[in-house]
Amino acid sequence: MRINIISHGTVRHLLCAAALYFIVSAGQSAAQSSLTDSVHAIGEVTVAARSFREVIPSQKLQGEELARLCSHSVADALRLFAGVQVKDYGGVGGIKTINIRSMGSHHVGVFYDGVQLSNVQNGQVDLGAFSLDNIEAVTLHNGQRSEIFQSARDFNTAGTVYMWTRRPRFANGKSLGVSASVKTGSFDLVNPAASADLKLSPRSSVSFSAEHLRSSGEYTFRYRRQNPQTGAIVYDTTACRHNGDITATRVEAALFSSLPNAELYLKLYNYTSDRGVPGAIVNNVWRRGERIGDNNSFAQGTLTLTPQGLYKLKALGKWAMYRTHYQNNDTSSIKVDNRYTQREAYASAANLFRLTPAWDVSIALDAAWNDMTADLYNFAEPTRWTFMSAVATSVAWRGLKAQASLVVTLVSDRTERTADPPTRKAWTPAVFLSFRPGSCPLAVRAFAKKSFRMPTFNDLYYADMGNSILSPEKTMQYNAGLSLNLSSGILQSLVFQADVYYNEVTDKIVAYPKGQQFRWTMLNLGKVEIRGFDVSASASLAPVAEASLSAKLQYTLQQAIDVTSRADAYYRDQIPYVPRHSGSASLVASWRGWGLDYSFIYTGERWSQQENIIYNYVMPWYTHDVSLLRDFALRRADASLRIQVEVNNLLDQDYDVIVNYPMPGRNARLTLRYSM
Amino acid sequence: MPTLKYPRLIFTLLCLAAALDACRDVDYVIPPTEEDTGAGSGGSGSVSGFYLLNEGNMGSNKASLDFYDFSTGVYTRNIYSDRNPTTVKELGDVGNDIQVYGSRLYVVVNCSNKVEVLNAATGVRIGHVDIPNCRYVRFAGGKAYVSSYVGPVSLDKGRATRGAVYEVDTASLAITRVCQVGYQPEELEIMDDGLIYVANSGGYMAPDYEDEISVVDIESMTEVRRIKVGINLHRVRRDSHGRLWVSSRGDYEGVPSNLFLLGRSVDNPDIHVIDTLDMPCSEMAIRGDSLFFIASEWDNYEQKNTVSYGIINTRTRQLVTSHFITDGTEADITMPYGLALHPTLGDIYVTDAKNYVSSGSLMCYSRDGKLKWTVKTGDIPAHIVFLGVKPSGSGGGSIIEDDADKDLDYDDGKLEALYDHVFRVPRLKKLFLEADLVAYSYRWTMRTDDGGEELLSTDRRCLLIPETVGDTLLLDVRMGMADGDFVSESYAIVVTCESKAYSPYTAIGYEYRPAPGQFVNTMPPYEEGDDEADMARKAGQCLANDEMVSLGAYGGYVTFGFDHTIVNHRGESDFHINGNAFYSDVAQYSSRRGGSCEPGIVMVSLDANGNGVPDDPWYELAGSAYHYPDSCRRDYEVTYFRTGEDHAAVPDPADNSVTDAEYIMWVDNDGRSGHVPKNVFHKQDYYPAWIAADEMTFRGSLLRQNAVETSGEKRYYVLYAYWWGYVDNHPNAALGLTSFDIDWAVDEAGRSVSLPGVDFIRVYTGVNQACGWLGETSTEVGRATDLWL
Repeated sequence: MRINIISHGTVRHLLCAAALYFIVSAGQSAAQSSLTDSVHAIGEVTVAARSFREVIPSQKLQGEELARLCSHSVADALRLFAGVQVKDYGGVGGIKTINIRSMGSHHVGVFYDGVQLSNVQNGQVDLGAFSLDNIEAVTLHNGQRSEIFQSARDFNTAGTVYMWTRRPRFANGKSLGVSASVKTGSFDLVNPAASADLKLSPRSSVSFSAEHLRSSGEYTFRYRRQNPQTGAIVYDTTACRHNGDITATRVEAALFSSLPNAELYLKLYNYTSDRGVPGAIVNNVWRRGERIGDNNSFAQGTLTLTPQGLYKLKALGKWAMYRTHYQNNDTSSIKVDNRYTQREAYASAANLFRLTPAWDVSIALDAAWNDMTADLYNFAEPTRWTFMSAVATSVAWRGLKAQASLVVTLVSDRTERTADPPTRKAWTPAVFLSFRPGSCPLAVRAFAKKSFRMPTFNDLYYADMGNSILSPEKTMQYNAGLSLNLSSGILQSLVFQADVYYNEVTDKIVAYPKGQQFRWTMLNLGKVEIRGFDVSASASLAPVAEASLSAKLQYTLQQAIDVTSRADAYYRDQIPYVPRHSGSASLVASWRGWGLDYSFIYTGERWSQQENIIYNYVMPWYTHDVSLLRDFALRRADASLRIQVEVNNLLDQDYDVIVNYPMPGRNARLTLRYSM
Repeated sequence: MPTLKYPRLIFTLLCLAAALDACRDVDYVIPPTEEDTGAGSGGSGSVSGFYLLNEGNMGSNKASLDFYDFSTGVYTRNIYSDRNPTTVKELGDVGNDIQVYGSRLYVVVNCSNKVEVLNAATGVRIGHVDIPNCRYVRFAGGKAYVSSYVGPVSLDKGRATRGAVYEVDTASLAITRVCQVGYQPEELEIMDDGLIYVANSGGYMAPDYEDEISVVDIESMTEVRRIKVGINLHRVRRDSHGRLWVSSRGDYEGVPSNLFLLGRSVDNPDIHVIDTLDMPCSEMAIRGDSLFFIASEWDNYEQKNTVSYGIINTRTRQLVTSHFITDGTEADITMPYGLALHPTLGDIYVTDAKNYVSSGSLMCYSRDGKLKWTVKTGDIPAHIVFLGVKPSGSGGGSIIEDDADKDLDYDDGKLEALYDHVFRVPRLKKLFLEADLVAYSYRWTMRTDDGGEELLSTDRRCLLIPETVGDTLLLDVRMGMADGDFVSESYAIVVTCESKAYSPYTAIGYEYRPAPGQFVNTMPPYEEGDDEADMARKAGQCLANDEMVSLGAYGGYVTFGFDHTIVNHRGESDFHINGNAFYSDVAQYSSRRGGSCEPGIVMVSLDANGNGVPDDPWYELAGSAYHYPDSCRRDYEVTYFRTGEDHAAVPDPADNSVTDAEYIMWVDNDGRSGHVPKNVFHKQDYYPAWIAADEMTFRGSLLRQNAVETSGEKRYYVLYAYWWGYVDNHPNAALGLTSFDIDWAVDEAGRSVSLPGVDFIRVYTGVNQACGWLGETSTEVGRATDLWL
C-alpha cells in the first residue's frame, strides 16, 4: 500500500501500488550459520549432514548457478522459484517485493545470514536493494525452514527467504583472498565491487565487501494498442523512463571465529542510496519527481555454543537503524520532504536438547524492540515490544521425519498520540512430516501451519488512516507433496517435485473507505482462498569431460480468490497480480572455460485489480535472458578473470509487471571479475 | 562432436521461445461495454443523455467516460477509447470534473494535468489544455475558468505554491490569463457580478488549512477580496436565488464538515456568509429550491460509515428530509460518492464508489426516492453532466448519432441558428413576446419535458415570467393566416441570473391614500409641502423598513411593489405582509382570536402593459369572508368630507376620551352616514393634509364589523380576527394566516382569475367601524416578503 502521504481529502492514495515510495527501507541483518548447520560451499552442494534436516526441501539457488543466472538482485533469483510472484516496478532502483503462494508480501520473512530483516513501518522488504555481489545462496521455504535449532522468528512467518552472504575460504596456505569486479551496460550502469578476506588466525577470519552502484535508470519503453477487429495499430509510442536513477553504496564487514565448542559470527552492514522513484506512467505524465534516500545500518552477531553433550545454544543479537528520506519534488503536486527513522534491538536465545539421537527438542526465546520517528505532523511515534517463545521438536524414525513447533507472540505498542492499544497475542503452530520408505526414490511430505502477520505501524497509526485496534492478519496453510529422485549414471541428478496446497488468509488487513471522499482506514476485512499446484524438475549431467549441463523447470498453477463477501463484485475472482499460470526454465551449461546460460520466465494473464473484468486484464509476459562467459586463468597462481556478457529480455518484449510501470526492453550487461 | 550438442539444444530452445513469444498480443483498444437499464423512453425528451466521469484511482490511469442514452435506456461504459483509440494512454489519471459548454464537453483530468476537450455529441477529441493539477472548470463569456492547485511561482518563499484559476479561450484552447488564488483551490462558481468565487482548501497545508473563498474579478483577472467561511473548503454551488452554498471538509478530527450559505443582504451588498447550517456535506446538487446532499461520516466506535441523504430547502434553509431515498435501498450503497439531479424530470442519480478500487455503480431514483434502475460503472463513478436540450424534429436516437454541427450551443450563438427568436432574460422579470405578424389567430405553446406542449396564450402577445436560472424555455407560436395557412415561429428563452441581487422585501411605494384616521399625517408623518408622490415614497420607505403605515378608516389604501415580479406558485402562498395585530391577553378572547385585529383587504395587479405604473386591472384576493354576503358586502362605496374650519366639536358624554364624536362625516352607498371620531390621544388633523380635494371616495368590499364592546361601559373592545386572507388580521408570527396566495384573485364579478404573477399589491382597510376611545378601525401595514426568493 502506498499510503496517505498527506492528510487531506483530495489527494488520493494509490491503493494497490505497493509499499513504494515512502519507506521501503529494507531492514537488513546478517548473522548465523555455523559451518556445520548450513548448506553450501561454492560450486558444490553439501547435502545436510543430519538425516532429519529439511523435512520439506527448500528451493535454492546458490554458488555458481546463482552467480551466473542472476547478475543483479536477489529479486531476480526469486523469480525462478515456484509459487512466487515478484512485484517489480521496473528499473535498476525499482522496488521489488515478493509474495509467496499469494498470501501477500507481509507474510514473507526475509533473513540475512539467519537474522530477520524487519520493517515495522510497512512490513515489506525491498529485495531489489540486495545485490547478489556478496550473496552466496538464496533459499526459499514454504512454511518455515525445517530446522528447529533457530530463533523463534524463524518459525513465525508463512514463508521465508534466506540470503546467505559469502563466507571466506582460503586456498591451501593462503591467508588473503581478494576479488574485484565491475559491471557496466544498459541504463548507464557502473557497478564496481570489491571484497577481501583475511585470515587472522587458523580459527578466525574477517571479510570485507564493498560495492557502489550508479545508474541513470533510463530506458525506452513502448506502449501500443491494436484494433482487435482490423488488427491495425492505433497507437505506438516509445518513450524514455525517467527519474529511475540510483546511486547506492554498500559496505559490509564480517568476523568469523571458530572457537573450541563455539562459533562466533559478527557483521557490520551499511547501505546508502539516493534514488528516483520513476512512478506510474499515465496519460500526459511521463516524468515524476519523487525521490527516496536510504541509510540503513545494522550490526548483528551470532554465538553458537556446542558444549559436549546433548545441549546446544545459539544466541543472536542485532541493532539496526534504518533512515529514509522521502521527497516529492514534483512541481505540480504536493511538496513532501519527510524523514523517517526506524530502530530495532533484537536478541534471541535458541536452546536445543538432544533427548535421543533421533529426537530433538528446542526452546527459543526472542525479544525485540522497535521504534519509529518521523518529522510528520502529528506523527504517532510508536514503540513496539515483541516477545516470542518457540517450542519445537523433531523426530526421525526410519524413513519418517516429523517436526512440530509452536510459537507464542506477544506484541505491545505504545504511541505518543493514541491510547495504548491492547497487547496483541498470536499463536503459530506448525506440523511437518515427510516419509521415504527405505531407499525408494519417492518421498512424500505434508505440512500444516497457522501463522499471522502483525499490523504494521502504518496500518495502526498512519495519520488518520491507521486503525489502532486492528487484529493480526492470519494465514492457514495445508500442503502435500512428493519428490522423486532419479539420479543415476550420466544424470548426476534428476529430481521431480510436486506439491498441492490450500491456503487461507483471514482477517486480511485492507484499506477501507472512511467518511468523506478519499479518507481511508484499515480494517480486518478480507478473506482469500488459495489453491495451488507447484511442480518442478531439475537435472544436471556431465556428458563429457570438462562439460556440465544443468537445467531447471518449474510451473505453478494457482487459484487465489477473494471470498470476503458475496456482495462484492469480485467475489471469488482471482486476486490482483496473481497469475493462474506461471513458470520458469533455466539452463546452465559449461565447457572448459566457457559458460552459456539461459533463463525463461513466464507469467500468465493476470488482473490488475480485484475484479476479473476486461478493464483490469493484464496480458501475460515472458522474458528470455541469456549470458555467455569465459573464465581465464591468469599466469599468477590462483588468480582468475571472468568476462561475462548477458542480454536480458532478448526478444525485447514490452511488458508491465505492474500496470503503468513499464519494464525495460532488451538490455545488456558486461561483467569483469578478477579474483585471487 | 559432443560440443555441438549444446549449441544445438540451445538453438532449439531459443526457437521454441521465439515461437512462444508470438503468443503475446499487443494490447487491444479498451472496448466499450453496454448495459440496458430497460428504462428507455423511446422518444426524445429535452435532455437526451448524460455523461458520467469515473475518476479511477490515482496512478491507475483509469479515468473513463460512460454515457447514458435516455431514449434507448442503454448505459455504455468506457466510450472514450472507442471514440479516441489513438490517444496514447487513453483518457488519463483521475477524472475530476466534467462540464458541457456549448457543443463541447470538458473533462478535467487531475493527475494527467490536462483538460480534455471533446465534441459533446460524439465524444470525439477536439484537443486538450495542459494545466497542472487541475481540479474543476466553469465557464463565462466564451472562456473556461479552471481551478488548479498550481499557480504562478509564489513570491512568499518557504511556503508551498499557491493555486490559481486559469482562463482558457474555448475557441483556441489557449490559456489566456492566470490568476493566483489561495492554496489548493477546489470548486469555483461564476456569478453575474462578473466575479469568480473560488473555494480554497489548503489541503496540502494541513493542519494550516485555508478557510477563505477567493473572489476573482474576471475583467482584471485579479483576486479582489477574500471571504472567510470555514476550513478546508470544497464545493461552491449557486442556487436559483443568486446565493452560494459552500461546503467545507473540516480537518477530519475536531472540526467537522459543514455547509454554509453565502449571499447579499440589505446592509452588505457583497456576497458574505449569511448562514451556517451545521450539517456535514460531501456532495450536493441543487434543483429549484431543493438542495440534495450526501454526507458521510466515519463512526470510530462502530467502525463503519454513517451516511445521510438529505434535502435542504434553499429558501427556508430547513432540512426537509435526511432520507431522500425512500424505499430502503440506501442500505445497498457502500460508499456514496456522486450526486446529480435530472434537470427536468427531477430523477436522482447517486453513485457508489464501493472500495474505490473496483467497479462502482450508478443508481437512478425517481424524484420520490424510489429506485428505478442500477448499472455498473467504471472505478469511482463521480461526476455527471446532462446533455442539453435537443432541437425538435431531430428524431430519436442518442445524441451520439447526431451531427455534431446541429447540436445546441446557445452560448456560442448556435441557439440563434435554430430558433427564430432567442432571448436571454433575467429571472423573475416579465417577458412579453409579441408575434411579428398580424394574424387571425395565435397559439402560443411551450415545449414540455415529456415532448408535449403547454398552451400559454391565444393572443398576439404572450407573457412569461421565467423563474429558474439556467432554464432554456422553448416556445412556439402558430399563427392562423387569412388564407387558412399557418405560420410558425420558435423562441428560445435562456434564463439568466439578475445582475443585482433581488431583495425579497417591499422595495417601492406607488400610492398612499389613507382614509381619515387618528394616525393619518403621522404614520408616515406629513411635512409641509409634501404632495401625493412624496407621501407615496415615504410610505414605501416605511414598508421597506417594516415600519407601520396606517391606512385610516374604511377604504384607505397603500400600493407597493418589489424589485421583481412575484411569481404565482400554484397552490402555494406567494407573499407575506406584516401588520400589527395581536390577540387579547385575556384568554377568553384570545382563544377565539380576538384582540386588536383590523383586517385589511389585499388587491393585486400585474403590470400587464409593462409601464411600471399601477394602472392595470386590479383583482381582489378573496379572503375567507369574500363569498359570504353577510360577512362581506361587495361594491361598497364611502365618501369622507373634510371638516370645515367652523366645525364645533361634539364630545361623547359616555366616553370622555372621545373629544369629537362627529368629527369627519362619511356617507356610503347604502344611504347610511356616520363620523370618524376624534379622540384625546391624537389631536392633529385626521384628514390627509396633502389631499387638496375636500371629499374622498373609496370603493371595495366591506367586511362586517368585528368589534365587540365587552365591558358595557365602552371600556373594552375586542376586535375578532377573520379566518384568513386579510392583512393586520392575525399576529405576524401566524405566518400561514398572514400570507397570501395569488390564486385567490377574483375579478369584480367574483370570478377566479389566473395570474402568472403580480407587480403591484394594494391593501385597504376592510372594516367601517369606530370603537370609542380606540378610534376608527384602521389597518396598519408593514413589510411584505416574497416567500419564494
